[in-house]
Amino acid sequence: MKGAKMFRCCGVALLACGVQCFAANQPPKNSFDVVALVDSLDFAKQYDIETTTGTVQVLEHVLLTHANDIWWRDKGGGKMRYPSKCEAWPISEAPFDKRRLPSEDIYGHLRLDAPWAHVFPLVREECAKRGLGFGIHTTLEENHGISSLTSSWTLDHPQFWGCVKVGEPWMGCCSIACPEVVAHKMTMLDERLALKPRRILLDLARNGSWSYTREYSVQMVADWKHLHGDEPVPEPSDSRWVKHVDRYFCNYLRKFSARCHAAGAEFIVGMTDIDGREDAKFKKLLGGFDWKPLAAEGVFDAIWVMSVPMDKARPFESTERIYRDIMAVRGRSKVYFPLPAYDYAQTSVYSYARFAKTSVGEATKRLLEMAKSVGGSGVVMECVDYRNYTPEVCAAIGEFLR
Amino acid sequence: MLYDVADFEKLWRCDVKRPIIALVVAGTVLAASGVNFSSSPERLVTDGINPAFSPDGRRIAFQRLEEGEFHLCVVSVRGGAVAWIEKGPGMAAYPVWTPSGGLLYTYGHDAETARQAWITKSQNGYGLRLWENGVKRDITHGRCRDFTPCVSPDGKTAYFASTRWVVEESKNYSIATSTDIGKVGVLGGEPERVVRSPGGNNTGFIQPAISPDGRTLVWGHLENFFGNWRIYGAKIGNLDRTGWCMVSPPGINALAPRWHPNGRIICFTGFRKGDPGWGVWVEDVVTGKVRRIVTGENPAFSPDGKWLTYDRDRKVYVRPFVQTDEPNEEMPVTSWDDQEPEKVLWSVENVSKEKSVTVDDTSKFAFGADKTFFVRIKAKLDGTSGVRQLLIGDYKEHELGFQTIVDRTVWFSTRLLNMNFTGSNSKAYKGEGVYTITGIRTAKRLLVSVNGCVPDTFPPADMLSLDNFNRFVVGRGLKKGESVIKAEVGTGWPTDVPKFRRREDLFK
Repeated sequence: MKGAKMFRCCGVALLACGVQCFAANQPPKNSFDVVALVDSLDFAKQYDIETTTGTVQVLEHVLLTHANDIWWRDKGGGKMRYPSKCEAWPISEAPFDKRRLPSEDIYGHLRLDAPWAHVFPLVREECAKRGLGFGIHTTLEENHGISSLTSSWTLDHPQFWGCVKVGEPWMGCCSIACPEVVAHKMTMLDERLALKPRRILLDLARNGSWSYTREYSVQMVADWKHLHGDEPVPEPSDSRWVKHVDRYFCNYLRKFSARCHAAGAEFIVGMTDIDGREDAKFKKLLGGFDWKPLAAEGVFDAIWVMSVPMDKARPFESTERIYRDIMAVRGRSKVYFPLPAYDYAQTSVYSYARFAKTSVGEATKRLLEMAKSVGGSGVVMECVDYRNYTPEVCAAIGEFLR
Repeated sequence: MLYDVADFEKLWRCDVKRPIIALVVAGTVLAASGVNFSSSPERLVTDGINPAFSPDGRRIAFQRLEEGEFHLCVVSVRGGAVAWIEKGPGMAAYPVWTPSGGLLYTYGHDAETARQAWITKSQNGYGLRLWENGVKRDITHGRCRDFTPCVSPDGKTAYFASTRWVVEESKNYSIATSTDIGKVGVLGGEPERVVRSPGGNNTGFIQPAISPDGRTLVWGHLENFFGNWRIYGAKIGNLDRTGWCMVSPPGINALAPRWHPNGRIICFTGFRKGDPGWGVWVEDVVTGKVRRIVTGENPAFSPDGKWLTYDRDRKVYVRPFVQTDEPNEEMPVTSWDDQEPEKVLWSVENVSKEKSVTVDDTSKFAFGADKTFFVRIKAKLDGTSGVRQLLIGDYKEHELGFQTIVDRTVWFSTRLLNMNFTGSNSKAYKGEGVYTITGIRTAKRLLVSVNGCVPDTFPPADMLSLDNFNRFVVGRGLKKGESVIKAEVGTGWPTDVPKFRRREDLFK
C-alpha cells in the first residue's frame, strides 16, 4: 500500500514534471494569440535597429498593441536580417555586387545581416522574459521588387532562374523544379530553425512576383516534356500547366513542413484574399494555389488569412460568412484571422469602422470577437510601426484580452 | 575542362608579353599530355575578384574578402605573394589602372549604423580613391556611392557609376534605387553627371568602360527590375538618351563590359538561358557576333589584348585570348524597324470632363498579348497635384486594360497576367503646359514618350491579353481648365516617337 502510494506520488510528480517541460515549449493554455508581425525595417528611422538597444525599443513599441506573440521578420526580399551562411556570398552590402543597384535612403544602408547586428537571439530572449511567443515571419520572395534586396544565392545562380514562357530567365527568383534550389531553401530554413522559433510563418503573398507563370525554367519544361512527350508546353493559364507546377510547389511546402515539424516548430502559411468557397484558391500565385488539400493533409499547422474580400456594404456580416466558410474547410490546420492596419485594399480595421459607421474601438472588438467565436486561434497584426495601430485599437485589444 | 596547373609551368615560365611563344609551349605541353585542344587553357592566379591587368601586363590588381571587408591587392600574373594596397578598416573595390601605373578604386569606411549616419547627416560614403606611387588621394567624397570606375586612355578622366545625383532627385521621389554615370578628373575636381538615368525605381547603370580611342562609352544598364542587365553604349559627344543604343544582343543578360585594345571587341559578364552559370563573353561590337568563352565573371583584357583575366568562385584566373576565342555567333539584331507603321483606329477631341465612349466595332481593339498598339494624348494640364487618368481602355479582362496617367510623373500602364499594375513612366512632365504623351505596348515592352522624346521603357514579361473591349474613358480626374485636346488609339509604331539607335549606327 505504502509502495503503491509512493509509486502514485512519483507518477504524479513525473507527470507534472513532464507536463511542465512540455509546457515550456508550448503556448499558454486557452490562449487566443494576438500576433504582431515585426518588420524591424519599418522602424529604421525611429530606432537604431542595428543595435540591441534599438531592437528592445522596437519590441517595447510593438507591445503597446498588447500583442502576446511576436513573429519577427527574417529577411526583406532575399536579403537576410541575420548572418546567414548560405546567403553570405556575394555580400549584400551595396555597391559591392555589380548586379545590385544601391539604395540611398536609410534602408539602403542597413546591414542587418552583419554579425554585429544579429538581433534574433536577443529578440527570442526578450520574448521569453516577457512570456511572449516567438516566431519567425519569412517570405516566399527572393527580391521584394528591388535589385538591392535580391537573394545573393539567386544572383549567383542564373542557371536556376525562373522564366516566363516566352522570355528570358529573370534574376528575381529561382525555379522550384531545380533540386539545388529546394536544397538551398531548406538550408535557409535550417538556419531559421536554429534560431529556435516556436512557429515559422511562410508568407505566400510576399512572393516577389514568383508565380506559376515564371516557372518555365529549363528544368521545369524538361520535366513537362519527360512526362508529356511531344505535347506542346501549355500556356500559363492552362490548368495542365498549373497542375504541373503545383506538384513541385506542394512538394516544396511538404518538405518545408516536415523540416519544421522535425525541429519542433509549427508551420504556418499566409495568404491574402481567400475564402472557403469551392473555387476560392489563393490567386496571387496565378493559376490559383489550392491550399485546401494540403490543409486537409496536415501540412500546415495553421493558415493565416491575411485579408478577406469582404463586402463593403455589409463588412462584418460578409466577413463572418467568409470566416465560417474557411473554418469549414481548414482541414487539420488552425486559422489565424487578420487585424490589419494596412488600408490599400480598404480592408483595415479603420475601413471596417468607416463602412459599418462605428467607432474604431468597436470595429476592433467585433473583429476580435468574431475571430474567436468562429474558432480561430488568434489574429495577426501587420505593420505595427509608428501609430498604425492607434491607441483606440490597442485599448480594444487590451480590453479583449482581459 | 580543368587542367592540372603543373601542366602549365612551362607556359608560365614564358614571359606573358610573349604569348605566341607561350601558346606554342602550352600547345606542346597539352598535346603531349593528351589534353583536348578545343578548350582553352586557364591558370589560377590567386583568391579574389574583379581583376584588372596593369598597363605593362605583368601584374593584376584585384579585391579580396577577408573578415567581412574587401581589401585591395596586386599580384604578379604568375601568382605568388600579394602586395596590399588597402587592407582595412573599410572596403576597397573595383580597381582599375591609370595609364601611368596608378590604381583608381572605390573606397569607404562606413563605421556608423544607418540611423547614426542618417541623424548626423554623415558624409561617410564610398568614393573614388587614387593610389599612385604609394600615395593615396580621395578623389570624390559624400554620402553616396561612386563605384566601378574606368579611366580614359589619356589618363585624365574617370567615368564611374554613382548614386550622388539620385540622392538629390530622391527628395521628390520614393525609394531611390538608381544610379547615373558621372565623370571626374583623375586628380580630382567636381564630379559631373554625363549619363542620366531615365528615372524610375531600379533603373540604373554600372561599370562604364571607355573605348581605346576615347570616343565611345559602354556600360551595364538595368532598365527596370523586371528586366535584365544589358550593355548600352553611346558616343562620348552624345551621351543623352538620343545617343544610346543597346550593344549586347537580346537574350543575353550582360553587364560589366571592358574593351579589347583593338576597340572592336568587348568582354563582359553574361548569361543566356541554358548556360551552366555566369560566363565570360566577348562581342564584336561592329558585327554583333558573340561567344561565350568560359564560366566566370568580371573579365578584363590585358593591354596587348592577348590575355583575359576574370574570376570564378572568388578566384582570379588568366588565360590567353586567341583567335579561336573571337566572337563567331550571329545573334538577333536589336532593331525597332520591324514594327508596322502607325494606323489610327479611333480618336476623340476636346474633352474637358470625364466621358465614356463606346465603339461599334470592338474587335479592332482586341490587341491580345502581342500586337503593338499605341495611345497618343495631347492634353492641357495645369501642373497641380492629383491623379488624371487621361485615357482608359476598359476591357472585360480588366477595367484598366491600359491607361495614360499623369500624377507627379507620366505613366502608360497595363496589367500583368496576375492583374497587377505595370507601367512605364517618364519624368518629362514638368508642370503646367500642353503635352503630347504617347504610350506604346509591344509584345515585350511598355514605352512612354513625352513630347516626342526617346521613350522610357519598361519590360514586363507576362502582360494580360486584351481581347474583349468594353469602352474608352477619357479625361477622368481633369481639373477645371484642363482638357484632353486629342486622344488617339492605333496600331503600329507611332510616327511621333523616335526609335532607338541601333548598334550598327553607333559602330559603323
